[in-house]
Amino acid sequence: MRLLALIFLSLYISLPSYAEVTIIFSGEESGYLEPCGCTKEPLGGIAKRHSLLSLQGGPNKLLPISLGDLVGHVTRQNEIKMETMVESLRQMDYILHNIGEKDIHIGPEVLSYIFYSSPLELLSSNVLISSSYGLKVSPFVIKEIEEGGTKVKIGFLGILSPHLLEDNHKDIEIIPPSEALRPLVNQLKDRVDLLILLSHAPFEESLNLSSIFPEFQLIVSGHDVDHPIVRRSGNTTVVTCGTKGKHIGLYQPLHKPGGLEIFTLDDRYHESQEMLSLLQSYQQRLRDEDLLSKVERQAPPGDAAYAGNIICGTCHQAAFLHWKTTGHATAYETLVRVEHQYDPECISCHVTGLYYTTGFESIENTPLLKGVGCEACHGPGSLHKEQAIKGLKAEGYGKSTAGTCQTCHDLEHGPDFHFEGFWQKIIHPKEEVKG
Amino acid sequence: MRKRTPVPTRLIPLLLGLAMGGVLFGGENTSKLPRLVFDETQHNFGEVYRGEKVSHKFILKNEGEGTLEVQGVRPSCGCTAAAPSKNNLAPGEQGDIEVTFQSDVFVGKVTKTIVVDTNDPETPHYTLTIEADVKEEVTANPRRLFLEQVRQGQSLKTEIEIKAVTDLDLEVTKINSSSPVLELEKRQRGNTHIIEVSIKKDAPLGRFGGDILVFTNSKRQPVLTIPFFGEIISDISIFPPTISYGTISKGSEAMRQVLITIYQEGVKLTRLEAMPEFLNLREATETGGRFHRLEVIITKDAPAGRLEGSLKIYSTSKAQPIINVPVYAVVK
Ligand code: HEC
Ligand code: HEC
Ligand code: HEC
Ligand code: HEC
Repeated sequence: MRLLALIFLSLYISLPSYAEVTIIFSGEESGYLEPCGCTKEPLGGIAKRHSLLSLQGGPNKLLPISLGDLVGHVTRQNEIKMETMVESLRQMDYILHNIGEKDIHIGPEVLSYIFYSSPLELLSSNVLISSSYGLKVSPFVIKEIEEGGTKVKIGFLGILSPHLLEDNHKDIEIIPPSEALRPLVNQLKDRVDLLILLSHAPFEESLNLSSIFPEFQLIVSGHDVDHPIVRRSGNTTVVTCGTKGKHIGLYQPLHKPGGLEIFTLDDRYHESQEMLSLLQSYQQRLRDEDLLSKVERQAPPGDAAYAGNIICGTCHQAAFLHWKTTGHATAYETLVRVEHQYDPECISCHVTGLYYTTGFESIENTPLLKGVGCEACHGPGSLHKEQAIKGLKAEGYGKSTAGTCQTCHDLEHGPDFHFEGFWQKIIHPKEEVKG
Repeated sequence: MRKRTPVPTRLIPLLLGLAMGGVLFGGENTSKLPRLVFDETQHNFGEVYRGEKVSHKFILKNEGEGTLEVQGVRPSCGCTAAAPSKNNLAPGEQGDIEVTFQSDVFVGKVTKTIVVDTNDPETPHYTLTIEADVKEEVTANPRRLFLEQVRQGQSLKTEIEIKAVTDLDLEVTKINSSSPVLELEKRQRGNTHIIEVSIKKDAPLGRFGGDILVFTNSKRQPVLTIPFFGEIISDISIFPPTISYGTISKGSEAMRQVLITIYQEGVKLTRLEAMPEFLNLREATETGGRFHRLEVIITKDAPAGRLEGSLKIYSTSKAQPIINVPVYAVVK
């Protein structure tokens, strides 16, 4: 029934098909290829995005553009992720990607590697990258579209706020945006029918640019504005499309008044098969490259090491037996069920101590640390165990508070979390502990 | 005054409703509708220290005739909490939504939103915006450490300065690095704490990265995270370190690139070898600079199943005469 309803909806969505220039914009995915499945209403992801784009009509009329920041961190996993992301943009017929600071963090050599074989154009009007990387960056992009016999020319410019790049990379130079834009705007304004700026900058900075350059019809802005915001400033519309790929913007400048619409990628959109196979392939790569064994690890807090649930269970039997019945005990199996057990990013919250030395490594090496174990909340307990054996007091060991829970039950992975209610669901039984 | 945001999220149900002849709203009893009005839709906290908590009450009023139900308040990020004073407002009644903002992650000008879901049919999802200029009490310079390429065996030393901008008598209690490649030491110069970062002589070849954690006595910023990144190189560096294709469908060709960078002048590649037989190599046109590009292709006749192979790069380098790059794919 539900499926039928979805299909029905999808048909309906495709009905008001405006035959006109449609610019689709997205950005600041920061590594969110897919929603994690931790919440009841997962938003975003490339698989839903693809079906939204498919509903908007074919290529040629659609101009999807990307604002910048495809991935969030600098690790091998994120390199693979970026490659996957760029491949997905290619399959969705994106025409360009504006450079964000996180794209630079990953390294110009990696950008060069990834964009070398991609038809996607890299855009930046103010980021200069040393030519030794063999990376082609266009200061502007012009696209021409046939619209009812007449040709429409659209010019795209893109900037990165210099305030956002904090490392002094010797091969990269950033020109102040208004300085870089002035000559380009002058050069393009009479050559195109529409000028659009991709402004990878704090919202306020983008608003400033809109008053300096009234020539832009649309400024797609961003940088950590999680939710879509629209402001009009003179003739210019300044819009953010939110972060983590949850929303997609659609701009149809020629017909509808305002011409702007933001879509939230919720479960009205099905997940496209092409993107699901790309995601499956991504998981396979994480597994083949054995990234779980390569995560960076900090020394655990204090001098203790992780012991394992069964060890705790030898003395705290009641707590252990009860814990076994909670979802925390089978959190690793949940990932096996959804085939993400080789994905370090998922594993981090579904096991005990992944990012610490002596914590979870793999199901073979550290089977006692699978799942959200005792020490995921109480901290590594080897010293406590030794002290308990000697009959010493458990000096301040194992304080666990709402803050502990929220390292995992954060807004992204458990938006309904509230300590009292959740703790009552899994509270340990009272017990007599023998030392 | 009745203010509305320009309703950014004009969602599909609305369109649908209209397309279907307004069944969604047309059927409702229009005589007793609630009407949500906010005094202001935007608040600027001004300068806020990172780690500091600030809050603001947005006043809302029900100017309609039916009961206004606040069904949900959804902040856009974990740094924002919001709670309504009441969930039901009778006609004419006033309430507030208290928004608390704590920035642990961001620095600089930030904009966050809170979506308020109500049963007001006109704006079921109302967006409030908060702004702040987040300053740091304790600053690190540089904020990210980019170590570039370092030759194996060479020692590289660099410094991070940690300073307090308030009159806090700053103490650095502990420093940690998530990578065994780095060695950290701290010392003090006046009010400035210096973290000396050096790369271990026996660090393995390859890209490395992670976070340096600096623990301080600042209540607002007990921990500073400084990401670092670099690469230990020898004569030749290969990217990526492993060639993985993921899953590919049987009967189709798949390509991955390899970037070979020669750092030692005079070093020449002598031979390239790929195993097993359905791996082909194609040297891409030279792109200039220090890079050579190589295309590694799985041919159409690769059999179904797991493929484990290798790419061997032979060169005149004394340090790296043969470099082995593992290759993985699953053909389905
Ligand atoms: C920041 C921590 C965190 C990360 C990272 C994380 N999860 Fe979760 N996950 C949770 C929490 C917390 C819950 C429980 C949420 C609740 O019930 O409120 C959960 C629940 C789930 C569930 C639902 C379990 C059930 O049957 O009810 C699935 C499936 C899941 N996660 C998959 C994933 C996948 C796949 C990834 C990686 C893409 C991932 N998780 C990453 C914290 C995390
Ligand atoms: C050798 C037996 C033994 C083992 C093994 C052991 N504990 Fe304990 N634990 C005790 C005893 C006895 C106490 C009570 C000591 C006291 O009252 O100070 C205790 C107390 C605690 C407390 C409460 C501390 C407090 O402040 O009241 C926590 C939490 C705890 N243990 C967790 C763990 C965890 C997690 C593990 C596994 C890493 C573990 N224990 C392993 C014997 C043990
Ligand atoms: C290390 C990460 C982590 C921490 C810390 C954590 N959780 Fe969870 N929690 C999870 C994950 C993952 C799940 C989903 C488990 C599944 O079903 O696969 C979950 C599920 C739950 C559930 C639903 C499971 C059930 O059996 O009903 C509750 C309730 C819960 N957590 C409460 C808490 C509370 C309370 C705390 C703090 C005292 C806490 N959690 C700390 C990761 C964590
Ligand atoms: C999801 C987080 C979580 C997990 C997993 C967890 N605990 Fe706890 N535990 C808590 C919290 C929260 C408290 C109560 C607050 C406090 O006293 O620190 C607590 C209290 C305790 C206490 C104090 C004694 C008491 O009953 O008041 C002991 C002992 C204990 N836990 C042992 C364990 C053992 C053993 C395991 C594993 C079998 C375990 N805990 C798993 C969160 C957790």
